[in-house]
Amino acid sequence: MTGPDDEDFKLNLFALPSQTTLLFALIITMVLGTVILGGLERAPVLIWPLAVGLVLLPLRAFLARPEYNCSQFHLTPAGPDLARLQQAIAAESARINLPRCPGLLVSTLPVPLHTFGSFRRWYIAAGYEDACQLQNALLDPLKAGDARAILLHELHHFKNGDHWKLGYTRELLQTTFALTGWAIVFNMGLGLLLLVAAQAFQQFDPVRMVNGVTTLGPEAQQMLLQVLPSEAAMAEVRVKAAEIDLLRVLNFGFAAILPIIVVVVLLRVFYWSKLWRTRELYADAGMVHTLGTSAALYQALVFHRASQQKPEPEKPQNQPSRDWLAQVRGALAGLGQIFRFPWPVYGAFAEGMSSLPVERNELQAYASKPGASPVGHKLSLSGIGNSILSLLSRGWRAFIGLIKVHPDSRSRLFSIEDPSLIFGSWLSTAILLSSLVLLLDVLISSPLTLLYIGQWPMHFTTLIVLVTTALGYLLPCVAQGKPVGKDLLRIVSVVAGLRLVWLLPVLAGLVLMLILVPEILSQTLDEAVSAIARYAGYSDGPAFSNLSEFVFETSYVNLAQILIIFAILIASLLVTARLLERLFTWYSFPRSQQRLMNVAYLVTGGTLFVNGTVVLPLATTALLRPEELFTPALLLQALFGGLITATGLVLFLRLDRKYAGRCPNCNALVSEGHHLGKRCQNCGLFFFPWLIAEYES
Amino acid sequence: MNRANIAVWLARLAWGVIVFDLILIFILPETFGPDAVVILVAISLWLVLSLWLATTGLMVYYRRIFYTWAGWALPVTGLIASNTLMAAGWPEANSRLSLLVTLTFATCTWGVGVATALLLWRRDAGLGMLGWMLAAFTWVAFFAWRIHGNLIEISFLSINNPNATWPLWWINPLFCLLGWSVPLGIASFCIHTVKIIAREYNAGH
Repeated sequence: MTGPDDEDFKLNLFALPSQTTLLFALIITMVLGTVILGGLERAPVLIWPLAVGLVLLPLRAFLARPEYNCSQFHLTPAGPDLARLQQAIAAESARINLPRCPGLLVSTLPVPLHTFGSFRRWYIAAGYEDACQLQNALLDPLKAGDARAILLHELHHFKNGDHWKLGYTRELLQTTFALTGWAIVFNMGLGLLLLVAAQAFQQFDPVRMVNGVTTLGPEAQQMLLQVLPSEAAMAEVRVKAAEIDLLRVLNFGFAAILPIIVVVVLLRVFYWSKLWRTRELYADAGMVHTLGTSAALYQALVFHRASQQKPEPEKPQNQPSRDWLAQVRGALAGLGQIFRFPWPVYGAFAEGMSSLPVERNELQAYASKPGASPVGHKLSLSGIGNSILSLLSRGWRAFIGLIKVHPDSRSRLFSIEDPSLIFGSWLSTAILLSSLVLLLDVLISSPLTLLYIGQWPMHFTTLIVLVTTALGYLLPCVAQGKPVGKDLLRIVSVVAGLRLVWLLPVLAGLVLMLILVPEILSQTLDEAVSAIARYAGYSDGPAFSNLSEFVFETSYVNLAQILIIFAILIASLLVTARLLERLFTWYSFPRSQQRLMNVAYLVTGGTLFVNGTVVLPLATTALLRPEELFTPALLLQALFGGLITATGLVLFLRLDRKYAGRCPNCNALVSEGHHLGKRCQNCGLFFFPWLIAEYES
Repeated sequence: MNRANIAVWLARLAWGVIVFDLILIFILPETFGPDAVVILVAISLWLVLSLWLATTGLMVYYRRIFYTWAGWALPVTGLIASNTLMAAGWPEANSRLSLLVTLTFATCTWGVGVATALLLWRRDAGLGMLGWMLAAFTWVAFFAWRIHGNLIEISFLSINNPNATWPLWWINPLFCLLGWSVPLGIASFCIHTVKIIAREYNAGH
């Protein structure tokens, strides 16, 4: 980001909301939130044990992870022969004020350098040879700086809390997948058993059965009859059992659990990978901040590549190049690794190294190649096939880019030169949000959340999109002084537009079936309502009285929701943007480094609050239940929400009048809006210097 | 005498007991008179209890084998094999071999418990074992009911003919596994949880 003085100011990532924390919170909220909500509400199958299990079991697994890793990778504490390395770890830990020093573990296996740990037990692990190499580098004056840089990168994972955020997320995704998979297998088996046993159960007569055992004496028969249920008790149980539709119960169980499995798999493939890539970029930033120069990252990458390099086997002559096939195989192997248990170790400097230039004068050319990836390949086919293959290969590379757990060297170097890249463009934010909304829609299709979604269908997606956009895109842009109006409009248009893209065919299909095969449509919809709502006890009667009315009302309600959400998001985000832009002119706000971001979070929270208590309830009620629009409960809630929001706004305006637009040093009026590196034109004081990263390019 | 030596001698003693019991089985008379009921009961008790104790001792001595799933599968395989032989009434004419098969079944029933305890002491797999055993049981029960009909009625009516083979004899190993998995799985889960929390707590002090 360049200011009016053409100085090159870099954004200080650590002054803004951590994207790692944001992604972590999103994943946890989506998985746990759904199940906890379902556990609170009534259901024909017990959901609350699943909810309790999903909260506690991942925590247990997270605490047990160090032992698991040690066993899996044959890790043992480093001996006195690696004392120098351990001393260096202790020294660098103290340098960045870590509350505890990680222990060093080594293995005879070729384990890449990585970190792991629980809340109180932190470890840096490596293969023995790599550890020795690192120690030797520390003793070499030419390489000691690079070795320390690598150590700092690893230690910053602990400083950023990556060990517990990613540790718990991994266990949550793994446990959810295992638990829900087991639940499906078990419930299916139990359900089928009950189905085949149902008829026998209806005819079960304990007296006849005991009397049939002729080898028992009368006393033994009497004792058995006392243990078994009486005829009256059996009659009562038969009546209750007759009311249960086992198929519907099985259906409910599947409908409740399957969406969770689908969402967990998608979170694991895409969001988990993004979380890992983001954490690496933050660790790089931490290392560079500590060392004060971005060259440290480049040198560390080169050092690591050199230390890992093995001589390449000679290619036999006259063999056609199969680079592209090898790349595809490698990508497939990487994809397969995602679902391996135990999950593989992700090393700090493990990937994207092959094309990193060794000489620094090649760096500029490397960095400026548009669109090329370190894992790119050349195709030798010609003609139309070339274009199609080129398109497919770009799509494939883009897909691999989404699921890779390590950013390539180019991304890492770029992110250090321009840290704002970590927050992504409006398009990447829009894609992230659209996929989030789609995942939420899948989760919402589960009967677990039916009570809440049925009553408040717009709340969840709207609020999650709001908080993600505000903290993940809006706040970083405003902190840099970038205009956001058009981008916000684009983001919300993409989110709403994509939702419309998948909704319109569904609604068109409904209307078509209504015209062509209304009986089949009626039966299908009735079964769908039974599967989702009726067996949870939410609906007893027929799903609808008039099919046409139902279809048109459903279409109108869903389309209206998209328009309403679009309007609410645009309005809320623009208002939030305006307030945040105003906030970043509070130059004389005392202790702004500690407190300005808190005010930004309060502003975001206020937007969520007013939408959650006033705007969304009123809009939802007006759309779905207009007759309840003027009920006292709703009006009181809106009034309460409105009062709190108004109070907050008044406070904001008072503080704004006090602190905005004035230099804290000379009290001069400051014109124009905020931008990174803005100075007072009167006395030259830098405003918000803590927003600027202090390291050399 | 240190602990290692004591363990070696106890292992040798266990092997000795097993050899003694095998010899005893083959020197026992074919039939016993009506007055020898007490002797019969005493011998039976001795055989079962001594084999259980000896098996336990040897499994603990060679516990490293049973820390793995393959090792755990050894007594399970023995259980399934002996159960199959018993159900088939093999061998028909030789009562001593028949007694050996029965004792093998009884020993393996106990051995499965010891192996499970050793495995779950070493590995934090109690919850998984419990869960998947229960899931396997529901599916086995479903297929059994589908093939044979009302399992409860079949079990009750089989009391009328105690000499005949129970039609659901093949479920015995599963009952045994489930019977051991439930208490040991729960105990293992609790013990490992306490260990995990204690390790984490002590790491900060």
